[in-house]
Amino acid sequence: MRAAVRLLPLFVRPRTVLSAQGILMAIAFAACSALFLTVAGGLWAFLHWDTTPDGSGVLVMYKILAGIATALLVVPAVTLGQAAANLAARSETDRLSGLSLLGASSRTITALAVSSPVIVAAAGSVVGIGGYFALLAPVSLIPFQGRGLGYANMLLPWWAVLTAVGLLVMVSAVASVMGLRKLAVSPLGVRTRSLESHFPWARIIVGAIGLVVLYVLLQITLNASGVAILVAGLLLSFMIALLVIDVLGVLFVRLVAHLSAQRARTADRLIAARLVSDAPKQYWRQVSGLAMTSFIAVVAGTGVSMLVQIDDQADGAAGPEALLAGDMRTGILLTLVIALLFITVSAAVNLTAQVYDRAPTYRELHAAGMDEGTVASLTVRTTMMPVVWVSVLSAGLGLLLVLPLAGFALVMSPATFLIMLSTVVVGILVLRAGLLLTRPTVRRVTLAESA
Amino acid sequence: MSESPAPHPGPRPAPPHAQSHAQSHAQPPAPVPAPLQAPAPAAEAALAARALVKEYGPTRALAGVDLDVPRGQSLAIMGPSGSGKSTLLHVLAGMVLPDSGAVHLQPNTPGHVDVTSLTPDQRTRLRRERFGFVFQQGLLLPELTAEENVAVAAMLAGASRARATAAARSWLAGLGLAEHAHKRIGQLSGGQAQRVAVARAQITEPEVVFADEPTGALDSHTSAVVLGLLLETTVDRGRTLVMVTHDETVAATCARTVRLSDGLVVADTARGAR
Repeated sequence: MRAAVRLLPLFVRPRTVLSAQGILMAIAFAACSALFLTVAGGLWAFLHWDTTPDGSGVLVMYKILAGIATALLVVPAVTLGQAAANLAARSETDRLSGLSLLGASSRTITALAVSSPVIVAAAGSVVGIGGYFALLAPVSLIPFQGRGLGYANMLLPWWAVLTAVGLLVMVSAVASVMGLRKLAVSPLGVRTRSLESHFPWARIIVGAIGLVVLYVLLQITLNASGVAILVAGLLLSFMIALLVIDVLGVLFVRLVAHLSAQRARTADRLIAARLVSDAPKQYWRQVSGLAMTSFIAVVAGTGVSMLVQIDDQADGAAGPEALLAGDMRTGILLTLVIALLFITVSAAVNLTAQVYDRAPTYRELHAAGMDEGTVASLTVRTTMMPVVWVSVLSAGLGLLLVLPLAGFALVMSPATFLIMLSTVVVGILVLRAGLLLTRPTVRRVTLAESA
Repeated sequence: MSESPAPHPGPRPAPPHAQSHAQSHAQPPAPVPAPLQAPAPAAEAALAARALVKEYGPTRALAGVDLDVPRGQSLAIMGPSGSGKSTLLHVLAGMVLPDSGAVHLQPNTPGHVDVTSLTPDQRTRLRRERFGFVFQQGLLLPELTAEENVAVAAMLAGASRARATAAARSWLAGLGLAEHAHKRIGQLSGGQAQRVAVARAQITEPEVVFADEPTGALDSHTSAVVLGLLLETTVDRGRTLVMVTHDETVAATCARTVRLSDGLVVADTARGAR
């Protein structure tokens, strides 16, 4: 470890930290911390609401729902942190190899490999605090119970800000170490470990069991009497459904990519499909946040549509209940939008990391006559193919879970239901637009040796 | 291995796979004819380079190279590290533009192209449609099967998937890889992978094949086999082969060897080899 400390000033230079990758990582962490602090600020404001005048318990429900929304956003936030750390680890590969050649121990290499993303994560997160203060201005005006949460109420105490930033930095460090495990660093270079792929029997069995458990649980829940059992059963079903999506998502991505490769008519489609089918887990991780978001959009969209409908029919409702349904709709939309922002930034960062990872391949394909536009197209396809199909799968599973209710919601309150679903569609379009950010990297990498 | 498959035999200016593509996009755009500097290129030259200069910062990689490569010739480019041999190959293939000088493909023919006057996109298309490449690492994608790796080159040139796959299968069978067509590159030996690279370079039936240390990672026996196949599928079919190598044995199999030193041609030897 002493060697790592001595080498650190040589290894982490302004030139490397301020490289294109370094800046992209810093932006990703800044966005991540700004968004996460804003969400945490919202939770903080809700937790400090005075609920004593409310005897109905509705205001307490706001606190619970805000807690659930924050918990749900942890997954896309961690995914973004991992993406940025992964990009950092990839950009260090040449120097890691050089250190290995010089006889550096694996501990020294690991320490140095983690140092760069940690420093960039810390710098980006600090910038993100500024973004959080700026974001609070519009977000604090969004009305709940008829008025905005208030700028001052959404300001987190200093220790909470430091804790959130510390957690982000820790995520980057852990993700870097995890990413390094997939790389074989040797004096001759750095390459991705070729892991033997087996037919995923275990995943299929676990997924099937999960589906059966989900079905049985839903039957029991829907036939049970008592609101507490119903709510607990539905929440448990919701969690199991998310786990099933996570287990089956990898299989689904692999299957879709395999079928796409078989019917690909152009070179870029064929290569993109094979890249995804060869590493379905990697591509699934990139879009797992979107799977969750699509699922929430359908399930929560159904629930809120029905609440809004019931609310509209209840004449003369007064007190906090009167605004609950509308506020839930606002809260869910906010959660979806923030999740989609996380996902868009992490997709762009992940794709950039992959482009750097495969730079020699793309350069050589270009040398052999593949134009830069086609290279860019195939890189975007590797992200968009799973994105589209995973959204369809997750929304489909969500519909399956709430099928009769979804039909009812669509008929009774189509606007609310369709707004929720269209948020995902718009989110996918924003994500596609976000991938345009990777185009300069593709161009730089592809044309590196051309005039 | 007496005869390699020729899915689309016969000389022609553009590969048949790419005919529909070529028709829709026309031939590589008509170049603005640049005046050739003396000496004039040989009438039968496939490639003619004149006064090529290329500098990388303070390093002069090419210091005024003139070179004619006749059609159907196998040319080995040799030289010590830093002599400019890879830069020369990259400039001849349109991968890198020289700071000054010109490269002409098929001068004095209707298919003449001034490579150095083309835009980057036009040069990319030229490489796709009229050149083939075999590099030391093979340019092969590990995620694709051998058959798909070969077919991709034809698909890029405009062939349909079905046609490209059929041609790829035929080329692989001709190179003794029929039973390996559906294997990933990682499941093949170095020699087999390089034979896949040879098939991939040939599937569009290019006019010129560029090879950069094509046998550099192979043992001597496998190297001889791959080299034999490379010559068989290029010069034996009237195509031109330009190969960078540091191996005298490999260079000896070519009809001509050009030696570079400090960016200049210092020796040009013809021999009886094919």
